[in-house]
Amino acid sequence: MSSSTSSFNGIAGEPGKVQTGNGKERTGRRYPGWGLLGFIVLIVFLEIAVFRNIDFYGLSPGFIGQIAELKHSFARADADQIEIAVLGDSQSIDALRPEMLAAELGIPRERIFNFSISGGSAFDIAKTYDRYKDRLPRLKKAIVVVNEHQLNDTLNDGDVKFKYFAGLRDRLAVMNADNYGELLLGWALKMYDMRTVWADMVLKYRSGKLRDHIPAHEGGLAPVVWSKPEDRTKAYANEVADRWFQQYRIDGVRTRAFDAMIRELRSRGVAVTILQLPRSSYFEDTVKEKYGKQQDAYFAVVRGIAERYGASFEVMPNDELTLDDFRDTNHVNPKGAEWVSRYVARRWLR
Amino acid sequence: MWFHSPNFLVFFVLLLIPFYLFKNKRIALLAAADVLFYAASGFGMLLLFLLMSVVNYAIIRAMKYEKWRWMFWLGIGINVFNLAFFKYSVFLLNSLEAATGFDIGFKETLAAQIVLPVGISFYTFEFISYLIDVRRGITEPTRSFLSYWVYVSLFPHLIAGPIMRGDELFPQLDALKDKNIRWPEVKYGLYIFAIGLIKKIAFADQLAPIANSLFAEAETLTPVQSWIAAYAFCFQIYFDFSAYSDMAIGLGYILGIKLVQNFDSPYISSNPSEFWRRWHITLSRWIRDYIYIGLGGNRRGPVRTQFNLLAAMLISGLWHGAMWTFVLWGGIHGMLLILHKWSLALNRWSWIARLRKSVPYRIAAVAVFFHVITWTWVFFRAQSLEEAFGLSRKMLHADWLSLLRAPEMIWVAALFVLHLFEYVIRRYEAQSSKIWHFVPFPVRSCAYVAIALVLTYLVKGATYEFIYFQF
Repeated sequence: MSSSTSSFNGIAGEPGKVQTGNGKERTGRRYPGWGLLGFIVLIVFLEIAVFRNIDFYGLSPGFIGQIAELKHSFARADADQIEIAVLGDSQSIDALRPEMLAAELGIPRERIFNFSISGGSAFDIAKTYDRYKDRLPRLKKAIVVVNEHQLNDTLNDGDVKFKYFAGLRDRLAVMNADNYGELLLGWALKMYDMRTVWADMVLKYRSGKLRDHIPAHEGGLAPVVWSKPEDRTKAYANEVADRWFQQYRIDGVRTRAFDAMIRELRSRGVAVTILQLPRSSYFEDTVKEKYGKQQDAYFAVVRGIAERYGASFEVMPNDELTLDDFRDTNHVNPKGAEWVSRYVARRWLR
Repeated sequence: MWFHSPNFLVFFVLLLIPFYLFKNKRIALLAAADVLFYAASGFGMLLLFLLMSVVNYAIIRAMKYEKWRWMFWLGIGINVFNLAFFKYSVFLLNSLEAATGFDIGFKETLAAQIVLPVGISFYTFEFISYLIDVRRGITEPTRSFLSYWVYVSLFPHLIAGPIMRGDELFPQLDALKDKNIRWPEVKYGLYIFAIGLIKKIAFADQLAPIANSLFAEAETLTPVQSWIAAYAFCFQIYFDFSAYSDMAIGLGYILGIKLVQNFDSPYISSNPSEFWRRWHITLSRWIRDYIYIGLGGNRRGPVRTQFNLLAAMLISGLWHGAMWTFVLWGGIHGMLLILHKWSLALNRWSWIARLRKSVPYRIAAVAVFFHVITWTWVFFRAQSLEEAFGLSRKMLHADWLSLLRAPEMIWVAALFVLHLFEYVIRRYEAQSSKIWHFVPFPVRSCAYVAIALVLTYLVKGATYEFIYFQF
């Protein structure tokens, strides 16, 4: 047989035999693996000191960085004074400003704190509330700002805030055959979980764009006051609506978190107003036109939760607002914020 | 399920716990894990694979009896048909249409329906090699279907090899229930796996966008850019495929199974026959043992020997994909092997033989042959023969001085040096391990952490599939 193979010149040695691994039978090594042990210790240290440390992410603005900003802003506030909490997303950061609400109510602004975070889903909002609830002894009223995307569970995939906040149980609740590895490995190793965040920070560091301290704001995160002109068009409204309603599913972890937050707030005697803030007519028309059924389902779910726990659910009208009051199709600008804050203070906070 | 995906990592860790705890159940656990691993590709594909395994197993059992030995041919036929149907039917019909100019109209029906089952080329080779080995008496037919299933479907090598033979894997599977998998083996497995991971993430996936973007504009590339494209793909395919093999071998060690080496620094080869001893070793071994020898090897005279060589390499090319570019790639390698064989006749002059053994000759031969291999990869990567010929023409007319002055040549040279470095590290593994252990362990630990951080940083974005998964 070997004679018939010699002309092939493709492989050395006997036909059918190749060496194993690197060609040598490996015998046991005497090294105990200190390097590997040190590696594990260092990784644990990095996890605690860096990758699970919110102040690290606070050095860069962004979805996770803002959580550190909120932490520092809250630390600056006198928590014992806070009687009114605003819980929501970027819409309520822009629209419900503590100073405007306080001025309308005629109370010191220290009594109001806005816990809203940009891009906040109901899950993120609930987790944010969980972090601070035990430090709010005088909380009496809460405005919980809600909208359609906050409950859409499909948007959990790839949401870095979900990864940041989610514990094992939350992860198990959204786990499927495609994402189980990402969720479980991320739970065990924040270094992996938060890789997109810190990788972006590395780039910012290299271009000198990383900030040297975490900013703290009075009364909550600072609003965004400007957007591109294209963000106030029908096309943009269409794009945002499509994003909010993609594969719309409101029976998952986000809705459950929302339900649990309202229950908890009510159980401690806080008066809760669940509020949908006004959006531009471009946006409202687009949603009604394209996603009417989904919106009806969302209204039914939120109304059901409000009724179950004795909260009120209100949808603010937009008929007194024009496009001039918006920085984009679903966020108000400072002028719109003035109107919305006054309206909310008068109607639900007096 | 890619080996560098978090899904696989979790899957593997979950398997290891019972695998180490229940030694008696290791084969059953591996069998179940193989089913789960393959099921991730699609339930239909799993059913086909299971069906093919049952049929092949039944044939192997039947072949024990003299009157049923003819079933061997049935087994070969079924396997070849299965592979040909899924992989080559569209190619054959396309070629038929092109040759006759007649529109069969299959594109809207057949072509749209056929999905290439993952790993079909590799598992078909496993089926066939076992059938042949049993017929040749090299190995005894196994009694256990579970063992047979684990042999053909063992997940570390299922999708892209190394292609194992029955006599290599079955004794290891039989011994698995009594085997104590020691920490040095696990550690070595982790080491090999980590090398694969680095090759894949830090090199193959970084080279992929460069090669992809250059080949996407193949028509407009300058001669120098054509060479850069070829270099990029040359290193990408090596890092990609050898990474998969390294990871497979590493996983094997962790499971107490030694898979065979598939790559041995192929770009330091000085001639085509050495290249095929270093590149995709288990495939060239398969081609040699089951096709070249099957066709008669060198037993039927020099002309027939060369025909057999060319035929084997053409089949090897076709195995890689149903495109004429692959066939031609195989053909070129066949011709190179034949030319090399002819050139060996020059060794009758002792000064030529001596020259060939000298270091300067070796260095020059490696440099020249590396460029020949780089050129052949153009046929492997191009989307059509026109594209491959177009690029080849440009490469042939490239001004070497301009090429050497191109800024990209720095990373080309760096990658080649890295390739050499890998050779040295692997060749002198015991010594390099000893040297590495002279480094104080905190420094080593920091180095491991740095590697982990860099790899995690690099996987933040898009990841590319393993090239050989498509075969």
